[in-house]
Amino acid sequence: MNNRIFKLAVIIGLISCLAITGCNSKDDYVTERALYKINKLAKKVAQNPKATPPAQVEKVIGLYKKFIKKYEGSDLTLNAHIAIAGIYASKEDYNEARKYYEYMQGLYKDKPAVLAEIAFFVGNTYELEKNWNRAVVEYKKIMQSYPFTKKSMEMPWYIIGHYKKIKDDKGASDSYEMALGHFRKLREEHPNAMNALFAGNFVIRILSEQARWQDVIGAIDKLNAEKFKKFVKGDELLFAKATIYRDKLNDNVNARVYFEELISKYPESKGIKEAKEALSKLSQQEEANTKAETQIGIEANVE
Amino acid sequence: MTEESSQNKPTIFSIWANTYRRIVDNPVVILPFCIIVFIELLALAVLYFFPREPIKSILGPVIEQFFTNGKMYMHYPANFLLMPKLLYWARVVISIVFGSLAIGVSGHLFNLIRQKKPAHLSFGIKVGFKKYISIAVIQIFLYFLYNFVQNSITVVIGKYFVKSGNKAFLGLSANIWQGPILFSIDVILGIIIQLFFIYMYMDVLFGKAGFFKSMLNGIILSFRLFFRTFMLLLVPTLVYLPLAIIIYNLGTVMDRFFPEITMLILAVNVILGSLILDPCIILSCAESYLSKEKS
Repeated sequence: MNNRIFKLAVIIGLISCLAITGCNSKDDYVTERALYKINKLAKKVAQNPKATPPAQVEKVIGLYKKFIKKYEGSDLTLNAHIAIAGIYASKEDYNEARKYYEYMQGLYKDKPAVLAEIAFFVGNTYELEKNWNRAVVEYKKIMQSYPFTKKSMEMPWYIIGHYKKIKDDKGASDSYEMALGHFRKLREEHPNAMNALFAGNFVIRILSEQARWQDVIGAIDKLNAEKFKKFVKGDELLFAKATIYRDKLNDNVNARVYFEELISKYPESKGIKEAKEALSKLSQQEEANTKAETQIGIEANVE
Repeated sequence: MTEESSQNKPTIFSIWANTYRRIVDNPVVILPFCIIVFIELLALAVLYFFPREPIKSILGPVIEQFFTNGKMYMHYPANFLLMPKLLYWARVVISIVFGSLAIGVSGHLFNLIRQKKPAHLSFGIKVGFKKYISIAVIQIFLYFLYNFVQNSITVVIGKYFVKSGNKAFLGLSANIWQGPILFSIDVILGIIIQLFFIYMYMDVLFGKAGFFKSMLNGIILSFRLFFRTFMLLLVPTLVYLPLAIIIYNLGTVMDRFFPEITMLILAVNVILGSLILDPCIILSCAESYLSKEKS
């Protein structure tokens, strides 16, 4: 019996050792836990920045700096840097926040995606100061300087959103044009980059929102479907074009052309049933129109 | 009262009193459950390390595959949000593999004690192994049934609100339906399923019929002793309910205190569930079954 208990204890001991020794003191988990603890303190500062004593603010910033030093090389140090600048911003010390962002730009000069994020935060500080014009300058800089980042793709929408929110139609319309220009440029200058596909899609979205359907057709044609066939389905493009011609441009002739092309080129397409139904409806409509025209012709002759 | 009451028609209180007395006089009867608690706590300790190497390499791909936002759960503190689910599945496996034996051993010891015969653990283990497969099959069946019904209800409620775009049902919002109401349904469902199938274990253990006949006998007896059994299941579940509510609101509790509190809550959950709730339900239902002739 004692022997069995001993064996069980050895097995449990081995499992525990395996689990504990496998946990490097600087693994991601430990880093995440350390940052979480500081974030929790920072949350209290952010909840009531004005009432928080400066010593408390300094303490939290100090903890972040210690964290950055201790876990140098971890991706999470970026979060700590952002949090430090965020604390300055929450205290309405925008100059200090921007100074810190500038310092961060030096640290991450080889990482465009991070630089774009930092630039966005800089723009945010101007927005918080109610200086929208200066903020827009910063946001446009992101589009120009880091065109292939996610942030750059988001910026035009952010700017449009701002004007829509304050119900500034002129501002929104100008921003749409600016966005169109930005995305068209991206699409044309780097046709083989993945972001060109996103840019092309955004062009279609903007033109659709403005109900510029003929331009939408043109923009669909400019999608590099051959290059991005993994993401862009040829049959779906044909279907979209056909429905735009039918529903938006009242051009049944072209609609028929694209439905027929879809059926002949992509017999396995999911939209085949719908395309066939659409074609049959178009035929019925044409027949009815012809009958009506003939009737009108007969009546005219009689008169 | 207890000795006398055992001679008369059993009541809910006499069943509880007799069960309690037999456990206190012969603690060996809950030894199998103590072993289960030990195994479950060990599983909990291992699960604690799931976002870290070397366990991460084994469990990580499984978690990412089977849980929505699985990757998120591999990071601190979100890993603690997944702990109740992981522990639940670990306990399902443990209760099928080891719990089936524990029920058999404990049930047989309880019967021996009731008959005032010597209750040696070795006798219990012998019978436990004999009945192991039958009890394990019932366990698997019950878990399958519970999860099937629970998932179906969740899907139906989800579809009603998500697919149809409805914002309320019977004047209650989707959040209330998918939150506290669904939680309450789960609790009631657990009781109902146990209610109709608890005597299957007993008939397999103490009866002389074959497996399928035992299952049928169990269901018939559940109908016969409906109210008594319902109370035997409901009261311990109500004791457990506050802890279940805490686990349900784990995110808030973690945020209010610290994420590691999850481990403490789950350890209490294991101890309360497997050392108090399970023996209380199994043994009181065994007492109820064994005294059924007097009912």
